[in-house]
Amino acid sequence: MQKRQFQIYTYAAIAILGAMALMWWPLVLGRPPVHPANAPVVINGPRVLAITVTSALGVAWVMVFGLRIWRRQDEFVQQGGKFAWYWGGTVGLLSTLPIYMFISQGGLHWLWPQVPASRELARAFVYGYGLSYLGVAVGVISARAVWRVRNR
Amino acid sequence: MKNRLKVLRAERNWSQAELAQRLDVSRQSVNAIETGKYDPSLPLAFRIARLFDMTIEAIFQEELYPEAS
Repeated sequence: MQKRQFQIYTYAAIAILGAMALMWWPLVLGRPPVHPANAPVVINGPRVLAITVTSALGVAWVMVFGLRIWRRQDEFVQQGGKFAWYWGGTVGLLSTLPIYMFISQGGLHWLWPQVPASRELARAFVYGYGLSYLGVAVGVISARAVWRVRNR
Repeated sequence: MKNRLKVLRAERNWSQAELAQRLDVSRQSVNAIETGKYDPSLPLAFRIARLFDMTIEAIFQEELYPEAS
């Protein structure tokens, strides 16, 4: 195996294992007791905050090693990555739209009546789905702005 | 873009892996360039030219009328 390839695999392993360690410890340590399904929901604020912060740390960790992996790749592999992210990401994201429409309009409940359906569930699904588009939009606009500034 | 990379490499009895190591690229890159599936960037084209002690034009030729595939 080439030294370059070995370094890339090593960085990838460190990125994944490190992020998992960072993101999972509050889940494991602060696991709430199991309540019956109909018990009122109790939100543990500090636990929510800890999970949010460690998730952000995990993402930052992955980004650092992702950048190292990117810099170790040669231009041919980078081109392949750009192609895959652009077309794979775009087609993949857009192809979820019909699925989103089906589920948000109650398609699952229509097919299987035992699947619960309510306005609250539909709203949560819409927000969750919209978050992925929002993330992609913000990422693309930011990356384009960085690209313009760097290539001015 | 046509190129003479495969011929030049063969003249020196280098494997694709050996050439890749000398150019600090992956073996897949060398293979893709040799088969004409990938055109290298200018910096890489210059590195290739320097390695073989030739000009870029002597290694890479523009295909004005590419064959229909």
